[in-house]
Amino acid sequence: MKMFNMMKFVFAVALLGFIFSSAVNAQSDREKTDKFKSGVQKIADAIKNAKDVNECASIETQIEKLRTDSQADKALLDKSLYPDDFSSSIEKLSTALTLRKGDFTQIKELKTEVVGLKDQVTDLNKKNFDLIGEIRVLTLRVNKSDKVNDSLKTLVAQLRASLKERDKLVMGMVDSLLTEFTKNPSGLSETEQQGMIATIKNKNLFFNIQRTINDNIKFMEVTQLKADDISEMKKQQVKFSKLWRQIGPKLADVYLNKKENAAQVTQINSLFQSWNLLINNQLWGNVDKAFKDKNVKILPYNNGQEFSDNIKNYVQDQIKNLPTIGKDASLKEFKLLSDTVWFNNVKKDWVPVLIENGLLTEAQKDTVEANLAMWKTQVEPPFSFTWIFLALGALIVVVIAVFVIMSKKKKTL
Amino acid sequence: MKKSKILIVLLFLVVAAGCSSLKLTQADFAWPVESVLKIDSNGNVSDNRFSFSVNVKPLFLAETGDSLSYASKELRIIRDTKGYYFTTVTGFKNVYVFGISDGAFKLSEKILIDENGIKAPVMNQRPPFVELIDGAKKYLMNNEGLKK
Repeated sequence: MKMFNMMKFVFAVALLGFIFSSAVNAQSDREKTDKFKSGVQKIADAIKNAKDVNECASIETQIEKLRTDSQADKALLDKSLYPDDFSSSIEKLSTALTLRKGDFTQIKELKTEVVGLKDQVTDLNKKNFDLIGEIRVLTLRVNKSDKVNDSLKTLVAQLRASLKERDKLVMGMVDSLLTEFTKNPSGLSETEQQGMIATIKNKNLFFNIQRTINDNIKFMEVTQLKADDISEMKKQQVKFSKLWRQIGPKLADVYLNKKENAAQVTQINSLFQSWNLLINNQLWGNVDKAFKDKNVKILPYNNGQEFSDNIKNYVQDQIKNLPTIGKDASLKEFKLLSDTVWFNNVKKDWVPVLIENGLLTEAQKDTVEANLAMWKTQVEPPFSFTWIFLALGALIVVVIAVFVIMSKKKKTL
Repeated sequence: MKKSKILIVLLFLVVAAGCSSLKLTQADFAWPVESVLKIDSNGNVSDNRFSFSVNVKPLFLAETGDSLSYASKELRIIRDTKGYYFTTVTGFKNVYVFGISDGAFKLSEKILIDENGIKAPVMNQRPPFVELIDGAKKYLMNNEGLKK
């Protein structure tokens, strides 16, 4: 009897257990699908936010666990995960993880490269600083001896080459940063932003950009640049500035909550503007010098329009004053401005640079030349054909005379 | 005479077979999982995956007597292999089985599940049936009602 009761008890427990387990196992297919989808999404986010290779290894385990745990529901998931299926979902995660691992390998290589670049830039910064110092000293002693002049030329050439090398390295740094941004056109995640901030700090990027611009500005201040040098520097400035304009607003977003760094971004913006202004001023300064050296007094100008207008006014004044100053004096002035200053100097050396950089237009140049031509007609009489006719007549007379003499000689023989 | 009668019957059968409507068989309309759809303020639901939308106010009127009682409710719906739609809402006593007729869901069967209301319904595809789970209780249904 006791045995029978015992069996009844075991049977009841087993029945309850069966009912309970059925209840626990009763799960919605949709719930299973949603759970799998959420697992995939979590892992995808983890891949995106992974900070190093170790984290990737842990994610790999999670993918494997998801695969194993969901294997029993493969048939359901294959149908319900439209347009993906179970295998393609897992495959996508594995591919994303492999790519992320690749990023870390690349980052490690880039870090090594950056350390090397950083050292090179630091060396070049120091070298440039020393060179600028030496040039400053030599500039004060210039014209005192040929030896000093030669040393100065050599140092300027060294500094120019060194600046170019350093500019190239710093631009390379900015360019690599820009590549990071373009990889994520929709914007950087929090982790990626932190990574970016660390990279910028590690590269000492802001300092190096500021240093690059300042050194170029100092170089312009301590040296007398020729048209070709300024043209090259302008090209460099335009290229660097363009690169900065692409990355500046993105960096401003990254540093939205870091006031100090955001201020640095703004400061660099204004440094680029100063650099641009200085090059433009130096270009116009050189043009102005060409006029002043020959004592041609054109009113001051700051842009192409003012330049062309002021020359036009100068020429018109000269034409207006022609009766007072006399034709000879005016012709002398004309030749000085037109031949010596404009055609032999400004047009030859500076106008191409000005036009290339959009500081002067072809139309403005044509206005200057049209006014010079107008002045020329007032002071130089137009070419007379009378002298050609006279010369031709004389030549014909000589030929006839020679012919007559020759024929007379033949007759006498 | 007898021969001509047989001939007429045969002719009738051939004509009848030729006039019958075209039918494509071995169709499977089953959705792999149920859709859980939010009801908007106008009583409409729409499903992006299976591309349909419908107004469910009359369903609530039939179930509760109040066509506006759909506020903040979710409609659970699944289609079986034969193409019938099984739908219910938490608190409903019934599962409604609809067919499609002339651009509308047409009631085919109303399956009473619990007089006190279904507390946490979920539906799964269990061909040829649709399974309804409500907590520990499970039911198998088709377009004719509960599986006996």
